[in-house]
Amino acid sequence: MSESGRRPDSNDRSGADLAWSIVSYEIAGIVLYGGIGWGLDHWLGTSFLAPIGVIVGLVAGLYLSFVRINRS
Amino acid sequence: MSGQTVLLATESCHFETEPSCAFPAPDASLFEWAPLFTIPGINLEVTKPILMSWICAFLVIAFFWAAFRHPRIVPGRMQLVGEMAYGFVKDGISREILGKKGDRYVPLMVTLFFFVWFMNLMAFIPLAQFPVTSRIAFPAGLALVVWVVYMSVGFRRHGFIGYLKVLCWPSGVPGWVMVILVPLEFFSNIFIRPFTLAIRLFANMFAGHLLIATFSVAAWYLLAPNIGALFAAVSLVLAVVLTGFELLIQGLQAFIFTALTAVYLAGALEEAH
Repeated sequence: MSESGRRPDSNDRSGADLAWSIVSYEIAGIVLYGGIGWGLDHWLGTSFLAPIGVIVGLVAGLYLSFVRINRS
Repeated sequence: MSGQTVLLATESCHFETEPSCAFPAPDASLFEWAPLFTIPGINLEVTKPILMSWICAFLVIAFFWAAFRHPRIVPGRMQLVGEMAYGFVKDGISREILGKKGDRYVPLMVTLFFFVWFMNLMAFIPLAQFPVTSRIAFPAGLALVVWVVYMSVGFRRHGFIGYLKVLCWPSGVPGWVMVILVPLEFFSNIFIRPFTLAIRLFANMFAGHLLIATFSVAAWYLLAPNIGALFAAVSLVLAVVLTGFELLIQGLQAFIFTALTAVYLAGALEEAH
C-alpha cells in the first residue's frame, strides 16, 4: 500500500521498494499462515495444516505483490 | 568441531609446524566481546562495539556542530562540507521520495544516515576494525526508532483507525480475498518491516566482516615455502579486494536504511484513499 512511490518522479527508487516489499510479503505470508496452520495442527493433533498454511501464505503473498505491481 | 577450531585459533597453530593443525575458520565468536569496563552505579558492562557506537555518535555530533556552529551566508570550508552532507540526504533521499512535505524529517534522516555509515565504517579504522552494526542490537535499536517514528506520524496524520486502514487495506482487490490478505498486510507492514530493516543491515555487515576475516586468516594459514605461498597471495589479494567492496557496501547499506525510512514515512504521510 505504502511502499510503492506515489510520486511520479520517484520511479527508480520505488523499484527497490517494490522488490523489498515482495520479500516482506512472502516472509509474512509463510510465517503468518504457516504459523496458524502449525498452531492448528498442534491443537487438533493433525499434521497436514502447516504445509497447507505455508502454501496459502505463499500464494497470498504473491497475489499481494502482483496487486502492488499492477498499481504502481 | 567448532569448539576445536576456536581452540586452535587461539593457539595459533600453523600446519607447517604442526601437520595435524586444522584451518582455524573464523566463526561467530569473532563477534563476541568481553566487557572492557563496567560503569558503576548502573552496572553497565561496556564492550568494544558499545564504546565504538558512542564514539560514532560523538563524531556525528562533532562534525555537524563544527560545520554549523557559526553559519555564514558565504560558507567556510567546514560549513561547505556539512552542507554537502546535509544536501546529499535532503535532495538524494528525502526530496526524491517524500517531496517537500518530508523536509521536517530530514534531520532524522541525516542523523540516521551518518550514524549508520560511521558505525559501518568502523570496520576500516585501524584498531577498531569491527563494523558496529554487525551486532544485531544496534540495527534493531535503530529500526525500533524508525518504527516508532513512522507509526506515530501515521497515527497523527490519519487517526488510529485511519492509519490501521492505510496499513492493512489493499485497494483494488475483490472482497472475499480480503479475509486472507488483510491479516497478511497487517503482519507484513507492522512486524516484518522493522524486522527486515534491521536484519538487512546486520546481515550485510556480519557477512562482510566474516568474509574479510576468513580470507585474512587463510592468507596467514596457507603461507608456506611451497605452492601454498601462491594460494596465500591470492587470499591476501581477495581480502584487499573484498575490503574495497565492503567500502561500497557500507555506504550503500546506510543509504538503503535511510531511504527505506523515507519510504515508510511516505506511507504514513500519504493521502487517504
